[in-house]
Amino acid sequence: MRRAAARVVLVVAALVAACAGTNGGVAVRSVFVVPGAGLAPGVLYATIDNAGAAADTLTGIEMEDGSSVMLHDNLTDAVGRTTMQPLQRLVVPPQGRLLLRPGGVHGMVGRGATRPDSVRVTFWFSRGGEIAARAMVIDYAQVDSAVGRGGR
Amino acid sequence: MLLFAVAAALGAACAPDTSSRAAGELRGFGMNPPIARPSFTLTATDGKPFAFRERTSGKVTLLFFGYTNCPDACPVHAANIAAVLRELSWADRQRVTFVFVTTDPDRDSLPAIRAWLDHFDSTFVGLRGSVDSVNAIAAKLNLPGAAFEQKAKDGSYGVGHSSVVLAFSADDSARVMYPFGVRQQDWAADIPKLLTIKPR
Repeated sequence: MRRAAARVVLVVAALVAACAGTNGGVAVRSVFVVPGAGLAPGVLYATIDNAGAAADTLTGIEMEDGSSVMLHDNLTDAVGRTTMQPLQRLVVPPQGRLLLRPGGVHGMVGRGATRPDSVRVTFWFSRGGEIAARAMVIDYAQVDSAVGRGGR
Repeated sequence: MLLFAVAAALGAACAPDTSSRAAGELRGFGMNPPIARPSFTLTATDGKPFAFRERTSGKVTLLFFGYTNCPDACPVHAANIAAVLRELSWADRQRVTFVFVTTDPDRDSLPAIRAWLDHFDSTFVGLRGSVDSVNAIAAKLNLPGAAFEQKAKDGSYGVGHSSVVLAFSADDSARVMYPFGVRQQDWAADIPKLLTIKPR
């Protein structure tokens, strides 16, 4: 009974590790790619944790097909207008977390992306270097349950 | 007899506004005072004029200003609403309309709007007009107009727009708005309540 339970724990841990990517103190997990509707651009969400004592900087994201993912932040002004501000880099604080989420910081994925079940995505960090992760490819209707609450 | 008539009149005068109370506690953000269903005409995806007030009167109408090249807020809003509407009974589903007004007419041709909306729900209404006309409609609804960002080297650009959904009830008033971040569970809770609000 104990051996069976231990095997289950090992299998689950392996599955989790397969989807997440880590390098030193920085770990990338819960990566989701949503192909755009028709020829519209899609979106990428992720959770980036930094367990290290120093900040790290996300400098780029690349899809499996070599296309770049453009980082944006959604900013809402005093009159309620929301605009997308392009970002060149994002700091992941030490002992902190960076969330790419609906309504907040997110990645814009190229148009016409097809839909396999998952796709490899590479994240580039100034200190942590290259981290590869497996993104689950989902529909926009699944964002609510898969990614959860939007905003900050 | 006279006393009875007076009592009845007083009772009627003091009767609560059942239209608003019938809605119960909604999860959207309340608007006080409510906004009347506006009167405007834009072009629908079939190329024909769509008189918004006449065509949606008496229905729960979810009105949203966005654009199809928006990767995040616009499709998530549309997908969430579509997912919840799919769970309604057939009868209730006929009483709800989602209307998308593009804030980016240069890129959002009528076929592009239709293709984008069909990804979520083929009954969703798509409307297009000039930037000035759409901004004027938004202003009447106390919403900010579209603002165009500087084009990137590849010609792409973002469009600043309101990210709220206005919900008009059968009484032709919008008393609640839904900002981005509203979950499917919130729509699932509120749409049935909005459907209980009766026409005037």
